[in-house]
Amino acid sequence: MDALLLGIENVAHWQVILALVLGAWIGIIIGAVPGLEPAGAMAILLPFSLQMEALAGITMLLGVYGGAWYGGAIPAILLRVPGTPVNVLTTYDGYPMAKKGEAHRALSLAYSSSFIGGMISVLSLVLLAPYLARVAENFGSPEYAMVALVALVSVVLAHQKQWIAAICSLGFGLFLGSVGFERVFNSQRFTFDQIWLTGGIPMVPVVIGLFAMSQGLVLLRTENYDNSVDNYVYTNRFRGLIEAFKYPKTLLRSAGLGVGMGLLPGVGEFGAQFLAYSLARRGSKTPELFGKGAPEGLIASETSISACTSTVMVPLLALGIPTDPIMAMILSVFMIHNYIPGPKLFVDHPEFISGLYVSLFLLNIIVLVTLLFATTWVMKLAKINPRFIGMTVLVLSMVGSYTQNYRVSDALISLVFAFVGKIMLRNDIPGFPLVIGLVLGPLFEKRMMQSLSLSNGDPSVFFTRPISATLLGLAVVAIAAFTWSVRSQSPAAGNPAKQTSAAE
Amino acid sequence: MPTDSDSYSASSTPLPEPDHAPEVPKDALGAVMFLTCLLSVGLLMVAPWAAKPVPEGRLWFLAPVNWPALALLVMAVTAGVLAAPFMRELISGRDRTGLLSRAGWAFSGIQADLVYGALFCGYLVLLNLAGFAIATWIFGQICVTLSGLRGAKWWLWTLVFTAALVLILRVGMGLYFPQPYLFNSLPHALGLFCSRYL
Repeated sequence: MDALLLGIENVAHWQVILALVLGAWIGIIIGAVPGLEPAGAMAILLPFSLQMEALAGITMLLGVYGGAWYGGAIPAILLRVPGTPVNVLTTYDGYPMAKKGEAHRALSLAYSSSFIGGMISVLSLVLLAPYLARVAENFGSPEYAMVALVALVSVVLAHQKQWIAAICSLGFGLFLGSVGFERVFNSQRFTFDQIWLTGGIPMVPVVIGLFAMSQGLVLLRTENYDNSVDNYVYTNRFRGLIEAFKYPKTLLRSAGLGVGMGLLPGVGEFGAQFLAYSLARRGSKTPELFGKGAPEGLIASETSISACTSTVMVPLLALGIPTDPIMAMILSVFMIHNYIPGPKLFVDHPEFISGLYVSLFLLNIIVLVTLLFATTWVMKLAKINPRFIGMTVLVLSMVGSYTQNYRVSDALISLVFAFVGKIMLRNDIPGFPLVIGLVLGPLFEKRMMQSLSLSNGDPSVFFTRPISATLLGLAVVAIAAFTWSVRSQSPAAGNPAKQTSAAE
Repeated sequence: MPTDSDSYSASSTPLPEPDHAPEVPKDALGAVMFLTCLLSVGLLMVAPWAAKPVPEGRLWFLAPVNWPALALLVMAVTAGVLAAPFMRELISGRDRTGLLSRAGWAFSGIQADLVYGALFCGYLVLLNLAGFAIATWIFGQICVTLSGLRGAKWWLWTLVFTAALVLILRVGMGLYFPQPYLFNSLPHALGLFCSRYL
């Protein structure tokens, strides 16, 4: 109770509330406008969030992250265009419902499912993070090295269809993470005597280039777009809110899957929603309705997506390990304000942790209320010409990359990674492993060196400590299971040439 | 089916199926991976000079070159695996023109991107010459015009967008930008005002 009051006290500042509301609104808009992604928007907002007070900065970014998944359901239901890539399955049943004249019911169902998933996710974070932090108190360098290894392995395995390309992307990220000054021998690596490279490749410009500017370039070349949103009038906004509770099994199962998948690095919303959807279909009394407007399908998809949003923070808060690029951005806000994630954070700054929990609860409420009353207005934004949005993204990308350190080199790094991101996007090469490699690479290297130094170069240090050995075993089992599933499911998947067409 | 442009249409966007990856021509992916492989091999070759090798009398795992070399090796091997069919076809010499044209799919639209990239560089230069507001308006206007949005309506919208950005970022949030040359030549008070808000 004390912790809760402490959290409320921390959140009850106008800066935090304003940041939360703004973040949530921006997130909803980003989600509702097809072509824009929360990672890109967060990358643009990151430099601004660094100038705010820690909790305000983090809640703004989390607001964008959480709001986008809610908002992404709007065009998915009304236009059959997923607002964000993770809203793909929402189109399956949401759009047919809208076509049948039940747009309001589908939207309300999506909102309430997301809300329930989001709330369960925050509760899970509250329960799991301190527990994992207590376990992490016993962690030394070998354990942290193995956690990083598990994260890197999971990120690759999450890209089932492009796993070789994902490893390549990860390798690129690991290399980029190694560029710059290294502290062991005070030498420079791959800087080629360029002063601007001494500090390494900064994460923010890379993320802005990969996820925001590359999208901006795509949007600028949009040939046509559909703005027939007015055909749908969103009238009875409360119908469907309670309806989600008519399917308790689907709700709980999807939320559970979302919570579980959110904990696994790199798997997140995609894995959760596909599994939740297929299990909902399997467990349904009317599986034939799936894809034709089944409320259960919509509930499964939206609940599982939102149930991931807070649990992805568990490894970050408890271990200081970001498991996706979005968490890497959140980590940089933590570090700037000298809040070092890990077990000590829970002991040293309980007020901050409680404030974070309370703001996440509030976020879900703010987004739900906003959407119930402003969906019609939000949809009007989907009518803005994407080419104009593309220009906006480029301008904001410049502001985001340049104003962080006022270095032209940062803006140019963004530009280079915009081209890289565009080529990756076009050729279906995953960009997330690159960012994870860039962020986790230095941490992994440092912990490996420390571990091997402790054991005088003996690698058995990773096998002889129980937690480290368990984590290593987990990584090996995950790789073995993945290899087995690829071999048994698709003969084409074993052939790298056919990798892109291999079935999931 | 792949298309020749990056065009996006809300009504015609193909709905991704859970069991189907967006189809990329294998030669296109092969070409990208071939270039990636070349880049990583090139960087691997300069690694002994670009990073310190094992210092004398110290343990092998402390060598600064280890980590980047390992990362580059991973990159080179995986890119090589994905580029292998493309390289085989390229070496065999059969239908090389067709192969290169299929591979070109990977980079189609890059000319337009390079133009926008050059504009972006110009924007950065202009920022130090004319200030945030003027540079943003000019950059935005050229981008919008080049993308095909022409006419008074878009001219006005870009102006409104710039004004809104100036109000939010410069006036509201007090975002700092270095004083541009243009405002140096203005009378002191006016120059200060402009460099603070524009």
